[in-house]
Amino acid sequence: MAGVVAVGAFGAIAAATYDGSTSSEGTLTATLTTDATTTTSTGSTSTTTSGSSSTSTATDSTATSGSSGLSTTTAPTTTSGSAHATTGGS
Amino acid sequence: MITTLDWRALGTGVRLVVERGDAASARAAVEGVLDRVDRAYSRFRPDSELMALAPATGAWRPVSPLLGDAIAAGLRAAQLSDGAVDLTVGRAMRAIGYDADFESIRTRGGPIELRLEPIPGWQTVELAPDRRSVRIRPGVEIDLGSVGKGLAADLAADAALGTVDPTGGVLVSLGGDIAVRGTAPRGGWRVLLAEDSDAPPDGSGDVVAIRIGAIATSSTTVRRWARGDLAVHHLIDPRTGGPVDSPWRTATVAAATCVEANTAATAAIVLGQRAVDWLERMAMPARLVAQDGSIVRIGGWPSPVSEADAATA
Repeated sequence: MAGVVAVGAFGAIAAATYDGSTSSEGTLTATLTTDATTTTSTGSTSTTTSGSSSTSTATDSTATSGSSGLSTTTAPTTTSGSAHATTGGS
Repeated sequence: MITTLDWRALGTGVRLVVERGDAASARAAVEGVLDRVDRAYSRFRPDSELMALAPATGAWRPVSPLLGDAIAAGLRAAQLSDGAVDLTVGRAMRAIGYDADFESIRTRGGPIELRLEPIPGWQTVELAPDRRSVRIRPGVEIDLGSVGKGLAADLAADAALGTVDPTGGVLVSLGGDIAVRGTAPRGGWRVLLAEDSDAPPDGSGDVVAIRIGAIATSSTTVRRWARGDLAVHHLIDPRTGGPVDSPWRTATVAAATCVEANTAATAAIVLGQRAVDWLERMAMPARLVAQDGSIVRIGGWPSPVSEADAATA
């Protein structure tokens, strides 16, 4: 059975394909893509079934900016109080 | 429960903060990483693997996985920053007198004769696709300085996380380059923004919080020294081979990894006025402090609490 499904995970839309030819064995591979204002996050999950057992592996790959190549993250939030550490020149 | 440990390594201050974990085990993991980093790519110990590559002969030489990864990070930083952050500044560093651990060079006072020349450029370094051998053009000297420090923070944080409770988290700061891993404390990891990473975290200044990734700062105000009447600092302008004359005195950047935060922060200082466009294009949250003290915030970097409160009042 082969097909394409879409599921929501980690706030993302996953396009998934199933490569198995029977209902009891095969590998399901899904690629997650999230487009935020400044960041694109990708990851994948793979589920392998054999008989009645299955193994799932999820990988949340490093967020990468669309075309720049540097890996971005969400901006810090402003806060107050005693800090855990100091960033500065050294 | 949060535990904080401070010590010195790699010529800078180390801070380890552990949330729900055995701090002694986490420290041992961090120390193990920093020791391997020191032996792999320190420019200040003659028995390091990096120094064994000098003088460069132009022939392919084998390198360890760690040094290979560090050189790869340096080459990537150079490519992404359009050469603003370049690993071939080793000779330029020696030319300005930065040829030993910083604690020892800043006590020297004698004048030096500066003979500056553009640096050779990262294209003179070739790394094999498997990162296990490198070819360096004769005369070229590698310095993995800022990128290497960021990479060390990432690796140390990864190692420390492996020792803590599955629900815990860690923060590792190497001279103000901070990598966090695992679960952040309630409200996030709070980070004081300062010119000098030696400033106590409970001191005055803007405080931001991060939950994942890293934050790093480059500054021309701290690692400075004088030789005779000449004041120099360690951030090199690849075009001249000398200390960069930047409109920014300090740049702080948040990124997914510390090596990338450090790359972007150093690039911002070197790029000067072009840094704002470059950081916006890279979608990097950043805070630049101009020489006159004015602040430019980019990529969603937040205003301090006081200003945010005033804006909503």
